[in-house]
Amino acid sequence: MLGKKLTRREFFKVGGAAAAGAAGLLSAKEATAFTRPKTKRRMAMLIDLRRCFGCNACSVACKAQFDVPLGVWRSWVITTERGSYPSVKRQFLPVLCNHCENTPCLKGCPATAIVRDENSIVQQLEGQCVGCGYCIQTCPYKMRFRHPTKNVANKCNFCSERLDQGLEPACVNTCNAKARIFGDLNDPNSEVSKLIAKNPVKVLLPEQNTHPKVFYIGLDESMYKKRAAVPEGKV
Amino acid sequence: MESKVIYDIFHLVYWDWRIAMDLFLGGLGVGAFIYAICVMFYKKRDDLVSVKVGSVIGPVAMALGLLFMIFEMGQPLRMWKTLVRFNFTSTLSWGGILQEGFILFSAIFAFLLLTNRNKNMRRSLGIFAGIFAIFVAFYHGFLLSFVTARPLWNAGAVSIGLIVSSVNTGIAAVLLLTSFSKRGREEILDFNLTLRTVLPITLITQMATGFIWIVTLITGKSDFTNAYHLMNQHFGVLLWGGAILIGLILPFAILIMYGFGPRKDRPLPITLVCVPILIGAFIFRYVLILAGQIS
Repeated sequence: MLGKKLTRREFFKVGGAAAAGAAGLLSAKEATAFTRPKTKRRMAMLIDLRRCFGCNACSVACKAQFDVPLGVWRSWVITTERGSYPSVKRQFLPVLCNHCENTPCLKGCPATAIVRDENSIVQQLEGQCVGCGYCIQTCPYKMRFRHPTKNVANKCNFCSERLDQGLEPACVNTCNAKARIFGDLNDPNSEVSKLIAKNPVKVLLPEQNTHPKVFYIGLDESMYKKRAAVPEGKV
Repeated sequence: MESKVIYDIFHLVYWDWRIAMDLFLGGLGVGAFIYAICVMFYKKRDDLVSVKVGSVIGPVAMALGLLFMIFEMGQPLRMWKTLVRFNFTSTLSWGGILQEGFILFSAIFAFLLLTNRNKNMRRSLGIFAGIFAIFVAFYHGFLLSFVTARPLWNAGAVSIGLIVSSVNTGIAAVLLLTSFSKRGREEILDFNLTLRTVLPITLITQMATGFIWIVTLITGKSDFTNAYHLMNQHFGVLLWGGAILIGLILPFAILIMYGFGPRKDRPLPITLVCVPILIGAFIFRYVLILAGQIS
């Protein structure tokens, strides 16, 4: 026998209160307003799509820089076609980690293996990553992947190793059309700040409220919206 | 004018059946434990077979589920880092603590119950572990729905569906194992509330949440609609045939046929009700995990 009698009504009252409490606790963090993280520099990339002609040199430079294995990519160029013959237009959209300021992957990582450095670059700490893959799921841009040999999450880091040596990211350095511009948003005299101030720029998936730091000039959102989730037979 | 993507990169699906198994066994474990605690308080007895079975299934199923998850991880040996490098904003971090706490307290409770020791402490421990179980059930429900990047997981009712499904599967597992013993079968016959009221209500609730989920997907933003079509295209048979027909409609139909409970003159085939619920619940999670990642 169990001592004090608990009526069915009391039981459901207690259970209901506990359930409501749990729901409130879990949803509270979603309601938190976004405040921009304060960092010494805010490195960002501007991609002028009017200049990009889809040569994919950036994708190859990135592959070479980080020895990215076959089948996975840190940066690539989405290609779309618009219209019908004879008036057909091909468009190119280079994509990479957006180094969001409201960062779902960083918030979700259970091992604090994702950090924002002093340049406001979202860094993956490979030595700390447990490879759970939650960051891969939370990235709305699908820019993360599991490194096939290291078995940890991987993504673009704006070539931090090159930045430390005073160099530009490999993709920026290699771009023939000078479509990629890289710089500090905190510095009003940087080229990237000036161009963003002068031109109407857009970001990918603004409705996700991630505050990306990869900006585009001449972005047609339908290019990204039409991005198929998965090609036929690849599941 | 319509744009058509002709080149893009798709990183392959990351989470596989092991994560579905983790969610299934974890949900089943907390559901069984919550059911056991409810029966214990409702009947004011803790020597019932279903109470003992439920309290053992709880920590064992949860631990097995965690093992599946660990084997799925890229670096399973670094699992300890999730404790020392705790991230306060991470749902997974909190979920890990809750699950470990649940396993610990429910295992101690089960041990005290089976060895019939320390009755007073046992009761408090049961309540404490039960609260952990409720939180874990909510964690399982909301883990996926917090991922705003995946429309299939983010559509409102899915979290409630997962919570209700945890209760369903927990009850089904307890009833199934209880029915293997003669005393257990007598208990089921004697305690008809589960089959007459609780299980039908949870099945109907799950059908309702499933319906709301699908309606939300069909009538929602284009992301939701695309996600629904992709799920139907790749996993339609599993979803409609496995999760809904086998997992929900079949057991509910059998319950109706047998008048929502066993009678002495007409014993209810418990296996026929419980096994489809368990199979359907796993299929639901499998479809949800895999289809969610391609949307």
